[in-house]
Amino acid sequence: MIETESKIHHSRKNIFFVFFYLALFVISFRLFYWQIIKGQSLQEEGESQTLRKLENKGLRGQIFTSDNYLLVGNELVYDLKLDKQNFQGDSSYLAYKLSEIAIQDNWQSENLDELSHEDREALRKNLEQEILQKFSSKSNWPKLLDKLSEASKKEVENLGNTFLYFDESYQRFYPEASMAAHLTGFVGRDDNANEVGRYGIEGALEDELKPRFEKNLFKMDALGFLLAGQKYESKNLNGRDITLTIRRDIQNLAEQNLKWGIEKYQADRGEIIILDSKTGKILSLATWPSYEQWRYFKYPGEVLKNPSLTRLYEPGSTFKTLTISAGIDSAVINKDTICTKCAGPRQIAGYSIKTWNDVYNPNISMIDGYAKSDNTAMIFISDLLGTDRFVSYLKKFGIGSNIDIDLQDDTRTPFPNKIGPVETATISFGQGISTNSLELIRAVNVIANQGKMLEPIIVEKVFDHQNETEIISPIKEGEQIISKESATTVTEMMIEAALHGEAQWIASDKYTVAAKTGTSQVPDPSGGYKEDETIASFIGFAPASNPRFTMLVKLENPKSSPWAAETAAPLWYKVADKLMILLNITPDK
Amino acid sequence: MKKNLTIYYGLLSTAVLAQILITVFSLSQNIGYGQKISFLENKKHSLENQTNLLKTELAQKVAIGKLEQVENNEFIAISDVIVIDRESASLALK
Repeated sequence: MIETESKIHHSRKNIFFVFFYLALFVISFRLFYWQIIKGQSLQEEGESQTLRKLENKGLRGQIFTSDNYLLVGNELVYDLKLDKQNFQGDSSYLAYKLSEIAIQDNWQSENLDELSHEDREALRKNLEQEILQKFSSKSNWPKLLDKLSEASKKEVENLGNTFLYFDESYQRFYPEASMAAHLTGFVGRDDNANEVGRYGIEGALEDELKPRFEKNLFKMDALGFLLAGQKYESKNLNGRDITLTIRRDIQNLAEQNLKWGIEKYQADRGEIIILDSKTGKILSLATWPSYEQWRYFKYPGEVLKNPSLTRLYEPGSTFKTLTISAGIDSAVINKDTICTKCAGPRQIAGYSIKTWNDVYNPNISMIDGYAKSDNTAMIFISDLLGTDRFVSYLKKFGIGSNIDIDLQDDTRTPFPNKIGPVETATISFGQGISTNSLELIRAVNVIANQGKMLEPIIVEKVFDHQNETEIISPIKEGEQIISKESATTVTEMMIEAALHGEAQWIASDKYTVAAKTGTSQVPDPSGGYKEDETIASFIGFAPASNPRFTMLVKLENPKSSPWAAETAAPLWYKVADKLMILLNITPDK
Repeated sequence: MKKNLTIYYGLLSTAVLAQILITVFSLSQNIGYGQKISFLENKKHSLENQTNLLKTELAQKVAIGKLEQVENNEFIAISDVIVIDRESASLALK
């Protein structure tokens, strides 16, 4: 009996344990299922209910002139959206009213002032049709219009339509219109339609200018408010602001005068570059043709490139300044050295090399040879120097060396690989060698800066909003290329060239100018040089006694006269006269 | 024994009540802070937009192109040039 009871008790115990282990197994399995298999998705679901992701993006950095005027900023604009599901009313009428308002915002970047009434009406109708089509789009919130101005937004609000909503965004804004377009560059789109800077400062300093992003996760209560105990910091996420070295008034002066010069001398293209002689800061860089940054896509790619960096040309007689500098500094000549080989054309390796006007000056001094822009006098110097020493000087002057500047463009200026006797002779007067305008002005500024070479600077300072720090571009002292005494002698020769050279008729009686004209020929792709095309340039600095600015004026294919003395030189003096006032320079005559 | 139990439960209820009050108070404060932060964020955003609009307007008004147009319109060429020499009775020479 007892044995039977014991068996029953034992089997009950076993049944209990079986159930217990079974329950334990089921619970363990469910725990494994919920925590391991489903754990990730449940965690995400839980977080989605309590966590809120806040994504913030700052604004793109702004660009200022050195006198603190805004050159490129950010403008608040609005995208107009429609609550299509609930919309009630006359869509045709609404589309008509919206097109009338939006057209004022220079829709699709058309400059409305340039359009006739008929063209403007056609553009408006086109826009009206586009808006109407969006009423039948699949989206519940179609974007009817984008980039509306504040004024247009107010007009839309005045329509009193309760089914319209606005989304805020920012776009690039140019208060000074297309001023310094080749310096600023523009903001375009990459392959993923993200904003990206192209050309100029926008391209070169993309990393500095681009806005910063911030992603934060916060725990929220059931009402969607932030739970306390979490640190909420709202940082300034704006990109860095860039201040350029250009002065707004000087840039405007150069641009206005370049435009005037292009029209007066009927040139195809032109440039005016003004440097601060002592620091290398670019005070102005005006180019024509230019473009409007906000409609960059309407211009051919060639126009978007900065010609001062990318447009290589044979500098012609302005290059003679470097030849005489090399000759003076290496002491193979002084300013009174007599040219013994200037009585007629020079015969070199079967080529006959003449002067620009086929007039020869036997026994001419170097100072007169430079003033009269005598090619044979320059060949005389290069002969005395020898090819190796001459090339070495040109390289020291930075010819063929890239410009180290914060502008996005191809700045390569190849130096000729093979230089024989003919090339040495032609290079001495600026033919058979290519350079760009910035490279040439950098080289000539060596004379103005007492023999020291300065790299042109375009960025004055950078302001970082996150750290609230200002980074100022350092002014380097510059490498000594020629001695101070040589620079002084060359300056005297340049003063003489300005006073008694081809451009003497326009010379200033108020301040001393050290300058040189250059009328270069344009190479013909089929060989030789074009008969009817020249590049007229005038480069120099003033006041010669204590240079404050170095300026290059370059006009391509001027049709009123091919000569620099009659085109680029008067334009140079026209700008210089006003520059003396703007820079508060006391006349030294 | 009964008295002790009453005191014990009394104290326990007081502690629980106090905890409830503290929790409700701190949570309401949290909600208050959250609301305040949201309000200030909105205000900051609106002020930033206003500042930007004013900056845009200012930059447009002081643009050199526009100023030049105004100046050119107001410019009146001098018809009679006044020449001041040593004999002039001009105040500028005194």
